[in-house]
This record gives sequence, structure tokens and C-alpha cells, in this order.
Amino acid sequence: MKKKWNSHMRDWASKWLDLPPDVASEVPRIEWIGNYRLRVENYKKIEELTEKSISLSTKLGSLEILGSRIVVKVIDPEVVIVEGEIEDVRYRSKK
Amino acid sequence: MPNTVEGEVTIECRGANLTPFLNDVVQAGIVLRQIEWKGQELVQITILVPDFKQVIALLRQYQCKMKIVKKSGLPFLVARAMRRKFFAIGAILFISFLYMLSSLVWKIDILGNEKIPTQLVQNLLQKEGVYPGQWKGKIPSQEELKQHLLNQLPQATWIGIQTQGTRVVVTVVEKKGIDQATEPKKVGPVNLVAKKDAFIVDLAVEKGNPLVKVNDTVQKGQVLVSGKYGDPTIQEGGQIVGAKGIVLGEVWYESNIVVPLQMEYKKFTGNRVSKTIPMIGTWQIRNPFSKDHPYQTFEIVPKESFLQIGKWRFPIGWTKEEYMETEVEKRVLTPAQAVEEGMDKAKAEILNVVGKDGRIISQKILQQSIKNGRVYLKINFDVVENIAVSKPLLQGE
Repeated sequence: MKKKWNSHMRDWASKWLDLPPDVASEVPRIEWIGNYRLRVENYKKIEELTEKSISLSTKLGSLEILGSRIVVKVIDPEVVIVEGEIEDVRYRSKK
Repeated sequence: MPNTVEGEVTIECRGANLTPFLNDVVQAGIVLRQIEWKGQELVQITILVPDFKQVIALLRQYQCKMKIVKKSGLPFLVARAMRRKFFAIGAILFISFLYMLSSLVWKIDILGNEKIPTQLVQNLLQKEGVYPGQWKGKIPSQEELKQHLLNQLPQATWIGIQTQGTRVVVTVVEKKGIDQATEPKKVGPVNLVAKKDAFIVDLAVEKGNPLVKVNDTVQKGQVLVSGKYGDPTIQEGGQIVGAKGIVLGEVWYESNIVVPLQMEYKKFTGNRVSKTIPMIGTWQIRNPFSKDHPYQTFEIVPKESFLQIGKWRFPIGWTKEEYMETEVEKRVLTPAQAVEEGMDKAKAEILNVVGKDGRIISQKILQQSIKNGRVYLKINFDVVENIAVSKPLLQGE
């Protein structure tokens, strides 16, 4: 209940204060440079890590990054930077 | 860059619960780099050295095994240097030793002295604290040193001290030997002898037997005052006392003088511009875009100053260059003025030659001509001067 209220407030703030949605809400913000560098903000956890794929859990479900020779360049509680030959980025919903 | 300073460790972790482990590490606020999946239950990560302990603790918690793959950065470099302690100490010692040696005085050159013995100057310098093996910083200031040396070396008119690297160059300029020549030499009893052909005007004999009278004409080398009493023609007898006195004789001089009618000389106009140029060592860093001075003819007066803390002088400093505008001034003399000037010049020369007892009685211009913009003068001077010089009395004769 509380969490819902919180997200509701965020949506409202982003609409009324004209803030970009990525700042106001907790959804992930992804920046993909070429096909080799991917920067993900607002992730929650690493779910899986192999050479071919990384999955991160986010508010919208798990975010899968597929490719080959994938390396996590830097990781801290807010940002993940993934490098490698990235072929596919997709969400898999929670359900 | 901060990674290099803090140091990085690359480790390989092996275990079953790698993903939760990684999540926990990230949640603990540790930044992970270069996470590479190496195989089943094997992952390679790079962490900063300060985080290492925390990561190890977490690894234990998840029962993972760890192997260090690579270490890089400053802490490891320092550690390696510590292991080769003697090498590092040696390197530091070598550099400081070299620096130390270059800040010592190694050689003192004394130039320009002819009569003053080098040894004497060296001893004086030693007393002032300038000697081989002295720290350059401990040498007293130039002005002070010059003053002290000049006080102790009355024969010198000027002393310059320069430090060139590890060498100190002392330049001595000696006084011209006037006072020494006039000082009577102690060579025993003397006769007074005529210096040149002259006409005796006055005699002032303190000691000795005068052999000439006023209004006598004497020739060069003639004995004027004998150091022996009694009849000079008789060799034997007579008390030897030595002669002392002044014999004034009238002498004629002729001098040839040339005076140019036009003279050019440089004069400062008073306009000046100064520039400051930074220096490292002796290397001047000139700004190629700086404004040039506006003068056509000028003189530069450079002044160097170096950064100094206490007695330590840094090789960083600046040169202040002062550009002073000069002007060529022409002076045109009328022939009459030129003659007057030539006369003054000739008089000054003559007075210099005749010494302190001499004086000019009269002068006469014998010849005067103007040629090629110059005035040529031939002047005759009638001068009274001391013509007596000492000549040792040969004893045992």
C-alpha cells in the first residue's frame, strides 16, 4: 500500500513539475552506445551472469542483456556498465 | 588515476553462490570493475585495495574460494621498492649526493692579480668563508665579501666575485703602481741624480752635500746632491749619510694634441621600459608575443633574481631587463673652442707626468692646423718639476 502511494506521488511529481520520467520514477534508464557499451541506471540486483548474458532485476521485471564476451565494466549500487558485443536487450515481465 | 594511487587487485572467485555474493558486495557500496564470467562457478573481478578485506569477509560468508590474479598500482610498487630496500635507498642517496656535491664550492679562481700574491687572496677568502668544500649557501653576500676584501687589500681598486656552478671566480683589479713608485725604497744611502736635462730653479736639501747651485744647467745622470760629505773629488774620507731632498729644475715639454671638431656621444633620454622574463636555471622563457620595446637605439640593463628561502637558492627566478633609450648627441666645436680643449687636455697630461711637486710656468702653442675636421696642436710647456731621483751609493768602492 505504502509503495503504491509512493509511486503514485512520483508520477504526479513528474507530471506537474515537468521532470524527466527517469529522474522521478524508479524505472531503469538505459544508455546504449553502439553495440558495445550499455549503461543501466536504477537496477536492483544482478540475477545471473554468464559470458553470453546478464540479467538484472529492475522495477519492471528482469532486464536481459544478451550478446557475447560480456563483461561488467563497473558496478556500484546505482549504475552498471556492461561491455561486450551486445545483441539484444529485453525485459521479461515479473509474471 | 585514483585507481592507480589506491591500487587494484584482480581476483578469481570460485563458488556456488556467486551471484548473491556479487549483489551483496555491490550493496555494501563497493565498486566492482571488470566482472568477467570465466566459466561455471568461476568469476573474475577487480577491486580496489582498500575494499579487499571487506570482499574477503563476504567471500568467506558465501564459501567461495579466491585466487589473486593480478596486482597493480602504487601500493604494490611501494611494497616492491621496500623489498629492494637497498636499491631504493641507493638511488635516493645517489641523487641527494649529486645534488649535495653540486651545491659545494669546488674551485676558486683568482684572476687579474699581478702584484698581490694569490695565496694572500686565498687566505683572506678562507677567513671570509670561501674555500673549496664550502657550501655555496654559506658564502656571504657578494657586497659584504667585496667590502671586506677591499678593506683588507688596499692594493686592489676593485674586486669582483662570481659563482659559476661549483667555481668561484674572484677578479682583482690592482691599483696602478703610482704609490709604490713614489715610496722611497730602502736601499741604503743614496745620491740624488738628475732625471733629465734641466735648469736648476731651486734646491731644498735635507741631507747630503749639494754639488749644484741655482741657475746651473745639469745633464741627465749628473749627481745633484751627494750622499757623502766632504770634497767629492777625494774618494777617501767623508761621512756617508745619504742624500735626501728636492731639486726643482726647469724642463721643457712638447706635446702633440689632436682634437676632433665634431664629437658624437651617447646620451640616455630617460625613457625606459622594463620586461620581466621568467627563468629556470639559466634558461630564459621568453614570451614571443610580448610587446617589443619602442626604441631604435637603446641599452639593456639585465638584473637577475632567484627565488631564495633562507640560504637555499632555487633554480627558478626571473630576469628584469630594463631597456633604456639612448640618443646620439653631436657636439660641434669652433676651432677656438677646440684649441682651448686641446690645451686643457695637454695640461692635464703634463701635470700627470710631472708629479706632485711640478707646476706649469708657461705654455705656448707652436703649431696649429686644421685638417680633416681635426685640430692639430703642438704645444710647448715650460715646467718646473722635481728632477732628483735616488741612486744608490755604491759602498765598498
